Amino acid sequence: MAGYTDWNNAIIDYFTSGVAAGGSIYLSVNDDALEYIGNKHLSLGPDVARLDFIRSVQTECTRIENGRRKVFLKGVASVCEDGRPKGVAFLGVMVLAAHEMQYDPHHHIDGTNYFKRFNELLGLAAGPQSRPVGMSAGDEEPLWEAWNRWLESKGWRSTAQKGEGPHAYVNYPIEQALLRKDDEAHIEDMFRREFTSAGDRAKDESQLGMWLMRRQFSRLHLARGFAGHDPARTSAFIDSAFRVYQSVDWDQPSGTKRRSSSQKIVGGLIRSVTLQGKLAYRLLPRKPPNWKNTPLEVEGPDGIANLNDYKSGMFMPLWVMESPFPEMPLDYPVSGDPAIEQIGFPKRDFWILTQDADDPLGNYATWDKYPSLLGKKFILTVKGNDGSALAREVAKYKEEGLVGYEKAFQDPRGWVEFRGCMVLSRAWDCIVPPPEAEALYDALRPSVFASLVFKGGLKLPDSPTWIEGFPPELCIYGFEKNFHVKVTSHSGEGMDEFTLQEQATKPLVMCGEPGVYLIKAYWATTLVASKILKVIPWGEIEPSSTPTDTTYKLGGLAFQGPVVTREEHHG
Amino acid sequence: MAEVRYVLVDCYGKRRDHIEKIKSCVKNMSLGMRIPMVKFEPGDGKQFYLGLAVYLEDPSVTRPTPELERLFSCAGLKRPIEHPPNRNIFFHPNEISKGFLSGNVQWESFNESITFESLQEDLAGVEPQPNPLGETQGIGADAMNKLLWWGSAMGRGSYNLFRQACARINGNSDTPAWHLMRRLNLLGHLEFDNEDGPPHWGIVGTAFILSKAGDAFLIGRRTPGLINSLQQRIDLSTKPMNQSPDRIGARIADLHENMGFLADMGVALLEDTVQDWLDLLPEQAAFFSHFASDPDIQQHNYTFARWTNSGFIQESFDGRTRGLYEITSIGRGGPSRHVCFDGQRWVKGGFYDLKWLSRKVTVAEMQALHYPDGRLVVPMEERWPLLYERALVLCSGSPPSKLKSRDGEFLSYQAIPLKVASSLCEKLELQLKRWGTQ
Repeated sequence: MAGYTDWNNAIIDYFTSGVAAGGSIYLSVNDDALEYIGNKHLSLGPDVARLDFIRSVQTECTRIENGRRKVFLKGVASVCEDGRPKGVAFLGVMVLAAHEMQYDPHHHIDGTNYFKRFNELLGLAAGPQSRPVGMSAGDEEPLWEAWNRWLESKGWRSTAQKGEGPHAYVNYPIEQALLRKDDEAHIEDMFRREFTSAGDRAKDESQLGMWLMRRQFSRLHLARGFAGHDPARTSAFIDSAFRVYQSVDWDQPSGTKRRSSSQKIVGGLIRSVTLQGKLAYRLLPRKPPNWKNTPLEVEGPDGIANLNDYKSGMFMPLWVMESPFPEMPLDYPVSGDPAIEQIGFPKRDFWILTQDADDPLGNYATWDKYPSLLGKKFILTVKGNDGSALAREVAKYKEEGLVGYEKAFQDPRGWVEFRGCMVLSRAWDCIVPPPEAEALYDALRPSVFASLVFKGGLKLPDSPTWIEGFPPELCIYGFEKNFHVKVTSHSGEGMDEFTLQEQATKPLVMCGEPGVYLIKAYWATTLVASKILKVIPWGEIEPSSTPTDTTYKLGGLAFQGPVVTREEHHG
Repeated sequence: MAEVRYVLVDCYGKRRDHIEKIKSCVKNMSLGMRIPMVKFEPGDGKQFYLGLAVYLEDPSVTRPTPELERLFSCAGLKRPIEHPPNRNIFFHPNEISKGFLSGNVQWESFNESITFESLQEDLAGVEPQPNPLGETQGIGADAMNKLLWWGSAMGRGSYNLFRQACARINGNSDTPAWHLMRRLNLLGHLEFDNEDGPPHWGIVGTAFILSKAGDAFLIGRRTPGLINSLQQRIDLSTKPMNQSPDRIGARIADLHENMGFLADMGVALLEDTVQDWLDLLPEQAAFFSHFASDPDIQQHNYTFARWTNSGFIQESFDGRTRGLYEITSIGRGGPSRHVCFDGQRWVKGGFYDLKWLSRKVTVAEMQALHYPDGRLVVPMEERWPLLYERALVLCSGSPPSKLKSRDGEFLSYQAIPLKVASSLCEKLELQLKRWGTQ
């Protein structure tokens, strides 16, 4: 059995694990998450986690008075010694209740139904408006605010928000739940109906995401989730849907209990060019979300290889792929964690490869699951030759001024690389793509009105963190001429406001001191983009943990700083 | 993202007038986010359909929003077309592309476009070009410390990334980044590789090196936090160095007493590294035999400037004169580069290595002077090939200091045992003179 504090810490670790600073955190507690947390973080046996979790919260956060169980939040309203908020496990139960709410065809956010479920979970007595006794409207808000504050102090983006009207506080857990239990069953049915081929059943996240975003959902919650105006929330919905997708047992009938999630590691690509100009694509595996690091091995074409840490969210690149466009999806068996069976490489018709400011060698790769292309240069690789349907489609986009690119290069191995691509226009509705190009069209079409980009300064790898005294410059890419920018500190103190012309840069000199800053861009009073900037003092930077492998070789000798050795020769 | 729907309006009049009016209203009412464009039938006929693209948060909406009503009023548009059964004014894009606005349709965007940006220098960077005319100038120890701390946090990167960091840390100093990289390379903190993929560097792992001066010095990845942590258990000395990161020293006995602590910190202790260099560095002829040749240099396709004491002097290449040359391609353009003609072939390599080789093949005798206190003095003009010079620097952990006398400029290396000086001079075929025995 685990105590409340154990669950509190484990939940925080699970939901923040592998999330780069600047990333959004949703406290989407559900049975799958509890099972994983219980097993991996708390060493609990199977089918015990949920009960143990609820019991621990009940013990810490409720009291029995006059034969009735009531909420008691005094003990969890503060923070631990390390600054972590104590109330996260309680908030987790609140979200679990939202996850288990029934689908309402009239789209009502019903506080009554919500609290009925919540009270059942913790065995609480109902008070006015069905709220549990001991928890009046707003009593739980300080816990949400503490959670948000802690996330932002660490450089993550908080997402829990109060709603409006009579159900303002209920909005907090409901919006955190993302896919509810009912929604999961609904989309699983959709997947089973529509995905019949091997290729359909081996999509990667972005392929599934594009497919979901094109669907017209009758359920308003899903329509808003998959096609809303907040890209971070849409990404979180797609991630949740991808977990459902990965856990479907296609060989079993609908309604079968799904397998545990995180079955497959998704394989992407990293592109490298030698000084001699030789181009190669290597397999770049992505770490499963919220996964607890365990040593893993994979069986590939050259034998067994270790899956080693690379940058946040990725494993080290593996072998060179014969082609980025295999005729069938590929699977490579993985061992070391029973929850992970294989690396899956999808069957695709195109790849979008971006550069990552955190990759010091400037490689183009599938760094982002759902790349936001506004303001970025990227390489678009399409299957076929330059007369193929997709290649002609890209040329059409350029003709209409929707994209620009430096050069189209026909690789004799059977694909075309459009290099130096950039999305230029929002007017994508001028084109109706043919069915075979819908996925490409959806992937290129901008989903945001504006994007903030940090340039220059002294940035640390794997997070939007800069070193004191050397903050970045700000540049905004967007579909209007001028934007209004506000810079505030983490505590809400206004630092500066200014107008910034599109694609002009402004040094963020007001962000030179250590701290966390929130940069928001507005157009005509509408918030169009925001970004978190963290600045740390020199005293807090840490040496990189990436292996020291840069070696100078000459005449059979290998030099690495103070060390010289004879080169090893592998026979 | 929000879903796009179309509002169809039956219009009468000149197309351009209608479109401009709508555009003006959209701009003035700041509706460009919601209403990004309009499609319309081309042609000269006075009656035509136009379709306003509208982003809807809630695709179940069927009636005009207040802002749409205001737009219709402003632009003088008729009531939009409704489709049964619920008088929905919003059409799915597929519906209009197959019906009202099919075929050859024109459109006007109400948003601005982004200006295409040509590819900047690849993050992977280009091969660095050394400045032959000067060593590091005007770069402070504080900046070098910060450069090493930053590099340690990065671990590795492209040359371009390093160059950008130098510019930011160094402010307005005109010291080329290549010189700063070479300084860190010479001191053993950084290794550079331009053979395996794009040119890149890496800061080596943290280690204490036993010096010949009787203490140990810290090399490789370091940050202020790491140094503070080491100082909890080990008494460290910090010595500012000329145009270099601080030399962080420690007593050897302290290190031996704290081996477990060092291991936990991931800090190695390397003993007698210089001996490996003495054992493995080859003689100079063998060393330079591994440098690549450039067989394509011909008298007619390059201009030549030969290195002399006064710098590079333009002169034709006569096919015989040995030395260091700066060559520029006549036909293909591009930057100048440095090569050395050793009498038989054109040799490519690092600038200072080639400079030494050119001196070797043109000057009768090169020498070094060793002092009883362990100093080794080398004429500036005969600065050793980088790897042999690194072996000298690893004896003390300190860069050479510059000396000036009436005989010229010299580099002085500290704590060089006579055995080390002899061995390296023998490999380089230099005469080693000992002070007091001349």
